[in-house]
Amino acid sequence: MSGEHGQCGRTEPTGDGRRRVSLSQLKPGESGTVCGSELNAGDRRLLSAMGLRERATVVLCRLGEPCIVRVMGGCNCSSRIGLARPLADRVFVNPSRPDGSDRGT
Amino acid sequence: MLPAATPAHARGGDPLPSAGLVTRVALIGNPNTGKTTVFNRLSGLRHKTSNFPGTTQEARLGFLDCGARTVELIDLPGVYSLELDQTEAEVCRSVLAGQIAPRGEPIAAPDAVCVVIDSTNPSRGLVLLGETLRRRLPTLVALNMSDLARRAGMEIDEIRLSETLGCPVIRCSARSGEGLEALRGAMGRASIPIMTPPGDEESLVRWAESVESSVFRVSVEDWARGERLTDRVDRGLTHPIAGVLAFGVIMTGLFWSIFSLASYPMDWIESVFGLLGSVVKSVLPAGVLRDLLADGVVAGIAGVVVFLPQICLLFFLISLLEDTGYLARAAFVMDRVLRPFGLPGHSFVPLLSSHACALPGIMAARAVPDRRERLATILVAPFVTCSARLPVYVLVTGLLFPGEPMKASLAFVGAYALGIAAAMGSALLARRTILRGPARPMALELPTYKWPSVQTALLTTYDRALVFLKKAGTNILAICIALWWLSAFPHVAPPAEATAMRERALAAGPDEASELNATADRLERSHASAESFMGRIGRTVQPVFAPLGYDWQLTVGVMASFAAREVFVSTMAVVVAGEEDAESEGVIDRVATAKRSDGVTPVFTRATCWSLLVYYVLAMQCLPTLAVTAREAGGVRWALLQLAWMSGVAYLAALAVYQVARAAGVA
Repeated sequence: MSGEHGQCGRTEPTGDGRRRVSLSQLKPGESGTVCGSELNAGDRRLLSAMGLRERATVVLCRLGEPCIVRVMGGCNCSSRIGLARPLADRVFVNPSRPDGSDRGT
Repeated sequence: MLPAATPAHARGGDPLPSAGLVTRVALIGNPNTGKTTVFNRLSGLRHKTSNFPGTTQEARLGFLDCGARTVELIDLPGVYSLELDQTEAEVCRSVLAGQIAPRGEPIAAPDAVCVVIDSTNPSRGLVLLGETLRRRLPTLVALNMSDLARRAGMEIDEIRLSETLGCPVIRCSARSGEGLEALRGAMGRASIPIMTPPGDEESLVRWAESVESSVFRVSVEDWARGERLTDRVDRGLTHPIAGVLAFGVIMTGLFWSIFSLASYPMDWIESVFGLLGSVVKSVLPAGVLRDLLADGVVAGIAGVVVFLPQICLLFFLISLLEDTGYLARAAFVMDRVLRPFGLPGHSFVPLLSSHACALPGIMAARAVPDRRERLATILVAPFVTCSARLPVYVLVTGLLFPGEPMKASLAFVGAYALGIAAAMGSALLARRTILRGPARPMALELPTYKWPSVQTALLTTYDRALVFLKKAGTNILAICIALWWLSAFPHVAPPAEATAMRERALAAGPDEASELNATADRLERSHASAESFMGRIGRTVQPVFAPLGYDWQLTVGVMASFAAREVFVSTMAVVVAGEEDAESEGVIDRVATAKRSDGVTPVFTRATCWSLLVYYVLAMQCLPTLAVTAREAGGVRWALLQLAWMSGVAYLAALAVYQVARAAGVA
């Protein structure tokens, strides 16, 4: 994630017409690609080190306080992170299209 | 590029490590990669624990033989990245740069670094590997948990990774022991990487992604199968209601084990040391040396060793729970309960364990990642009711509600609730004042579920027990001996009344003589206790406790139990009843009906009992706890703060209770 992303507002459409929503706005089971954050530098660095960084594919497993997100790795494997709701509110994602046509690897 | 550090082997211009030299290898990895299990399995029992100077971060140093070479293995704290602004990352950076070393070790950069990567989740580990490779130290890579990766259908091309890096790469499983011999052998073959990963974060992540996709392969279907199972278990264990219930059941089991199972070995230890004390007393001639050995040294060692069963059991069970992956879920579930008080979910296990004994509870606070939150947990943990308070609660609630078990048990529950409320209130206050700082928001890895390793749990238990005995145990022993001295000296002449009784006993019949001598014994013990240094201190300090309703006898009880609360009942038995054994028939009655020096006013009025109960719930009456706090918090000042705060709160609360009770007409 590249730090303060003021343009990454909630549910704002992006240039390519895709929605940007906060991670906590995904539905359980829904996936998306991280596109930015409004976190302070320390939290951003920590989440980035834990794999929750820009371009990472994430799946929301549990919505609540805290949330559980699954972060997909480069080899189809994944890890789970328990995430405080205030952090999940400040991480933004492009939700995946239902047909999965936008998913990368 | 970062400057290359000076490795330990290069001290004094040595060439590369050769046979006969000690090679220092730093073990680095993300949390939950099984790094510590690798350390434990490689070094076995050949390790020692200290800390990194200037930090409270624990430093574990292990030793293993690799052919003719001895490898000194440093277990670095688990980190997600070397670049984070956290103590753990700072320690790792400084060790790799050769700026610090475990206390007592020569300061030099390690000769090599072993990067431990979780094979089932290599993404993060590869980023850390990239950061480490940029240090240009001889490196080797351990792909741990390779058995779990294989079971998940993952293919790993470690030869390709080794060729890419120019360093040895070993597949292993620390849990099963697979590949550990190869890893041990590779310790001496670590080599400087042939490439340097890019420095900026974005490029480094891309490098790690490309390495991951070329070395690790697993099909989407294979991986999803395992994830579905984890999802199902997580749905229950992290559910707002079912998760809390499951947590309650598991923690009750844990608490019960510490509280109940540990009582058997604790009883055995007490019996063995009791026997040892009797043997010393029967073998040695009466005198100071005999008393010092029997009542000071043997009782002091017993006072240390008696805590071991609880400490061992707690750490064994916690280690098993941690290994299964459940402990992270427990912290997750409890986070929302403890957050309003400025504590994270990780604090729950230490606080719960403190209900059995604050010592293992405080030691368990190492699991709290944030320093301020860890300190707050350590400071408030002794407020919760530990088992040592129970004899006092039993005595005082029995005095308050004789023959009314329901009311007595409600008072008991109230005492527990007061302890928890004081702990939570103090934590909140500490986090808003001296430990003010942003709460580290929960970002917690939830590791995959797996069967726990008993061997790992045993090694962890051994390590914790050793740390306790070496570091805290010596302090506790010294304290016990000092308190024995204060209670046993000076020797004084028996009171005239007792001497007269003994003279009358000489002329009396056998039954009457026996009764007179027994009474004289009691009088002498009471007198000796009152005239000991401890008794004198009690009488001197009594005016301080007078507003709380305590006379000098009660003050002696409070002062003597400063080292350990459970001593209160036995001290009162000696001071007011002249009995050595508090469980003797009629002792509690004699304590309950004891009179002050005026011979009329009872020592234990109802108002005094309420005041005493509140005092014992809140006061810091446990020197071993202070010794462990000083060690775990990283300074005596934290122990002194804990002592001052708890004593102050206890004094004011007991004062308020006594004065309000008196004003309300409670006798």
